[in-house]
Amino acid sequence: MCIARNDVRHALTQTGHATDRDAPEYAYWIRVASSHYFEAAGALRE
Amino acid sequence: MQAFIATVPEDGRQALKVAVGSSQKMGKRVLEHLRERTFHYPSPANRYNLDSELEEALRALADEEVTAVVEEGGFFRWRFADDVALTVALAKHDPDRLREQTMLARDGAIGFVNFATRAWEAFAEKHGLEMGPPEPPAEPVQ
Repeated sequence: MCIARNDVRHALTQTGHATDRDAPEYAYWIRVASSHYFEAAGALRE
Repeated sequence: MQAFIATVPEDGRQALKVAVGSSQKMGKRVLEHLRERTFHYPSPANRYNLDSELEEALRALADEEVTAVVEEGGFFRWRFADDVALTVALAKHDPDRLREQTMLARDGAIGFVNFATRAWEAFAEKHGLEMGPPEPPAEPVQ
């Protein structure tokens, strides 16, 4: 759970930074954050 | 597990509900589709039908400009590739609920981080663990 927490949190932070800078990698971090969240939510349900 | 979760503070347990509930509210297989299209690239041998999805995304973006963004050190990033990747990933999203579903994913992700943080704190407290700045290095031996 701590691994997933680090992954999701880092991706969310980077999404925020990319949004603030209108950076092109915004779409990438959205995908990564959502994907790690999917995995984390699935692990919680198991 | 349930016994441990019961020791997590109320705000942490609420965060857990958000973390679990948000992905379910988004709709069946919406996040799963996004995850599979993020960690897998189009390939003829792939078990996901990514080639046709890629083709559809390219058609949808056919009128968009192909742009690159110059970065430090003379490198650049293909913005158009990011747009295509996001279009493929969001294919299961409902166009009429795109903003709502995006907010659900964000709230769910934040909920998970908050729950995991509270759970760790509860675990640390139960086991007498302390977190703090690292101890200063010992004085060198003369």
